[in-house]
Amino acid sequence: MGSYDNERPPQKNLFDEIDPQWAWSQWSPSGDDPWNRQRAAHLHRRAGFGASKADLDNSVAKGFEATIEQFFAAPPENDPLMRESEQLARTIVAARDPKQLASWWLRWMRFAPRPLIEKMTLFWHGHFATSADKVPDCELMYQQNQLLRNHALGDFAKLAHGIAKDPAMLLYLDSAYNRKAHPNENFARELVELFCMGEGNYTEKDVQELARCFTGWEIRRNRFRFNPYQHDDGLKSIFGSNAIRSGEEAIDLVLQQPAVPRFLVAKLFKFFVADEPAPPPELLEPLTKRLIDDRLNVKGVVEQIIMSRLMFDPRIIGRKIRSPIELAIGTLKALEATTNFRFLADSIQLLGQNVFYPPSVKGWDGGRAWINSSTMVGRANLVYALMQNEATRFAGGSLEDWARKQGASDVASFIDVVVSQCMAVAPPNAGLENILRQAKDWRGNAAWTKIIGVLAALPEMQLG
Amino acid sequence: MRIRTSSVFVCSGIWLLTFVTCFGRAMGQVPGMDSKAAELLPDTTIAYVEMAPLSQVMDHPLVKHVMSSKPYKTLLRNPEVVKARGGLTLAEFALGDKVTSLLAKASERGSYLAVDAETQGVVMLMHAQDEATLNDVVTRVMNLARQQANNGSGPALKEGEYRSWKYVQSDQGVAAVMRDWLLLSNKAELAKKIVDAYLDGREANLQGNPRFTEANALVQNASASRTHQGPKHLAWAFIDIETVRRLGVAPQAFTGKADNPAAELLFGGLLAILKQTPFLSSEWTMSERSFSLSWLSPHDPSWAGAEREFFFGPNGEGEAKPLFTTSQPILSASIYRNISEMWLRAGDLFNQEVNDQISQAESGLTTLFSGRDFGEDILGAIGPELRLVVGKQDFDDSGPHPAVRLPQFAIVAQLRDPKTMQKELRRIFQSLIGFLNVVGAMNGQPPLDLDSEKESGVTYTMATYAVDADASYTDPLPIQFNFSPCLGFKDDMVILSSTVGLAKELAAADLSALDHQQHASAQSSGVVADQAKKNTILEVHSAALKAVLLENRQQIIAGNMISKGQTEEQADQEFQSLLLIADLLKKVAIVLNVGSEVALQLTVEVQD
Repeated sequence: MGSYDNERPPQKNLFDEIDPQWAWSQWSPSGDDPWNRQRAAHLHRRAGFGASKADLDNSVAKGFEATIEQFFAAPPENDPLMRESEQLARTIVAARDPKQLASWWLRWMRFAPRPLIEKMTLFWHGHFATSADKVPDCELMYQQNQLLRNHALGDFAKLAHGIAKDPAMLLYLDSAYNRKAHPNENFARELVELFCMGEGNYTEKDVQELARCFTGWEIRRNRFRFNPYQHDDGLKSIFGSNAIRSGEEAIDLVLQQPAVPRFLVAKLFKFFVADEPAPPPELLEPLTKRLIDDRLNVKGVVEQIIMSRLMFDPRIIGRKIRSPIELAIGTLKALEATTNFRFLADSIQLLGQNVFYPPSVKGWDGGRAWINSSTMVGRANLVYALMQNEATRFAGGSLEDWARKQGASDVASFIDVVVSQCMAVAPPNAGLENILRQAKDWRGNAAWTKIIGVLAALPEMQLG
Repeated sequence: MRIRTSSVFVCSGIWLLTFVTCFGRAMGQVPGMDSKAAELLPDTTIAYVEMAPLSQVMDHPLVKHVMSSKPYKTLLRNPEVVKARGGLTLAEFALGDKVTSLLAKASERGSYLAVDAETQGVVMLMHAQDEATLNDVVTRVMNLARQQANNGSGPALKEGEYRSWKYVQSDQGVAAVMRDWLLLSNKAELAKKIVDAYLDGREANLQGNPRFTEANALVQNASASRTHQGPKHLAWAFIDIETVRRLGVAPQAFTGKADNPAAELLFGGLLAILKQTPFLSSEWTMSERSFSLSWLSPHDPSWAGAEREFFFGPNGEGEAKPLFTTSQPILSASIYRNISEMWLRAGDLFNQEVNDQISQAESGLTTLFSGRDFGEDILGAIGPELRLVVGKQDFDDSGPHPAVRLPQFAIVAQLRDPKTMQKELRRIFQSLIGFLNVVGAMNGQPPLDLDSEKESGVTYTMATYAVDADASYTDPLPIQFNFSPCLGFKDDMVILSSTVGLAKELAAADLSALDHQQHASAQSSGVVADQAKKNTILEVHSAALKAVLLENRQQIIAGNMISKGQTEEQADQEFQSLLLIADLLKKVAIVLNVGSEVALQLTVEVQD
């Protein structure tokens, strides 16, 4: 007799029946499917961390394409917000506490005028995971963060070359001293397995030969240095090529492998479109081709994903589980709030997403890994604690003031405002009516805080 | 019989209190007409504050000086303050007079605040010069309150009657005018009691409480002893501790064992007094450039018991040494505390949890101090007179600086057996530096170089962080570079300092001059009898504190931006407000005098 699972009919993969050409062609608003606040909110959630009602109204007024353009525009030069944030980062780096750096970054995610760049920087931080637990040097961690930010929507090849010589990365992978007598395989292995190609696309021999290429690559006084005396200058045989000598040549060779664009596109799909199920390779083929055509420059592919019909398909809305950062920053943005970012960094850490401290070289698994019985309670508690924190201000005032400005005069209208601002999909009416019954006599600031806390415990609040 | 019109009024947003008033009652001579406030208040009153007329406070040279100072005027330009003052100006326009002027008129013969245990209510009584003046004030306020109630911007008013007196009530409290007395209370029941006392007289009143009389006498004596050299008080207060204890309010403060060793070290003796004293009295005085708040209590050395002898010394005669200071002082403190005795009596003083922690710590510390018993041998080697000095430190302008510039600090104590202990402490210091180097190296921290020297009969053992030209420490330097730990010995005195410079500065101090200063200061304080001992002395100076704040401006602003989510502009504004306080204040001093009475005096000096 088969097990229960075996008796169930195999689940259909949502993406099996989707035509790749249709999926990645550009979505255009129409009478039946208009560009409205809901669509704009979806875009802001996926391409950023969420938005306030005013930002959404602004996006709707501007139109779909102009909004997309703004997401991909280069950061404004001499932007006072950016100057302020850079100055803040420099001050924190001078104090040499990486934990403060995490608070700084969360603050910047909340206020950055180009949220897509921060979202992509977060993506690369998980991709090229490096932890301050092992590299407690604040300056090196910030330096790496800036490297990821500078190439966030740029040339992956340049980013891969940069990360290969990044002091924080090499210290993290124990590659600060890589001598020809004992080649260190850590970086070589992660380069192919986690950074560029994925498992099954290389052999152990490839890793060993790659490791020989990186001998003589050292970190001295927190700077990359090539030590020719410790470099194995012989020819190496990698992926069938016998003409490789240097680390740079090795990286170029890795980047030429067909697995690289496939690997990156799959990760970007998971990050922007849906945690699961894994899409069939055919669905990703147009994106892979685009990435190859763009010589591994990721901006075009990210743009194609974000503007695609599939992205705005109703089946995709609310199909991602928000990471703790997306939940917290998204809620703050939706409520036009600012808070104690030190407290936020500490709280998010308890939910498993401590920026600058990823759990392993694999980064964060994401998706369903964010949710279990303990983190569900923790996530609701996080939102509630943020609302209660004495430093939290909503558009400069109290939550009650903010609710009044949004036109929420009673519990029912306040719930409507929060649901429409903070959730990708509305909870079932029965659930909301239940909250309404409980909260009918609640009044004032404490009541609004409590209502957000209760709503934060709903499954719909966890979706992005 | 004349018909008198009293007013009842409700105050809204502009006032902190909301009134209910009584009006329209036939009234002739009533027993309460010539009563003092304490005679109108019930005998269940547990706290009482008597304040001088507001006009006396507002006309005081200190208040005038503060209000004409630059920091105060700058504060008035703060957007939040401007906003609040805008609302106040509108209200004053409607009232036809300034709020301070109306309050001064209503309290021309004093104002009184009291807390009643029975009703758990708070009452404020204001005594005007005459009935007509008070009625004028009340009428103005009532007009505004009615207007606000009608347009919904103020609390709703509800009218009723008590003993044929009409009144108006809001959800925030009650108020009544009894001829030249204005009564405000958050509890109607308490207001009724006072009106009853005014109309019928009251035998059991606060004035009849012997502890109240004693407290008043204590304050009067302190005031009288200052007559020739200091100001009269502008307010005095009484707290009936015996009743508070009996009622079981804040039982943790009066019973049970401490759960915080640091709090016990600093305030343990005061808690012992609170457990025994029948009352506390307090007085507030102002001079040309300072104001003082003193808390006084009777004292019996036996109250502390053996377990708190560490705080007061044998027979309560422990005395703190004169304050040490530096060229750029931030904080100077001198205390009498026998820490060894406190440590060894931990079982009597602390709860089980703290005792477990102390046992654990003792085991680790004994290992660190090479097997010597920490409580008995190490702490026991140090005398009970401890001094702490915190001052701004200067950094060499030619070299790199730490990103965060911390003040330097030192602890100074006397050694009981200098000959033996100097050698022992030096060895422990060296071991500690070695230990810090091992731990630091594991965490990539810079190493400390050990050195020693003898200068003018003082021996120093010191450890410094060197800025190695070959190392990666560039400007700004890590926070560790604020420290160059130093252990100095001068006769029987031991100095443990965070920097070598401070240790040398303290070792060079003229001790006999300090003793002379302390004697002079004791004679001039005048709070308690001259034979009282100074148990604790603490001074905070604003000039160097401001300099340290300015040196760390960027870090403080960054901290606010992160922890309060502020913009740089908002964080800077908050920082500027902090500087304004430093600009306004010159020095804050706290002194605990112990004799037949105990007096805890807080004095705040403002800048000239």
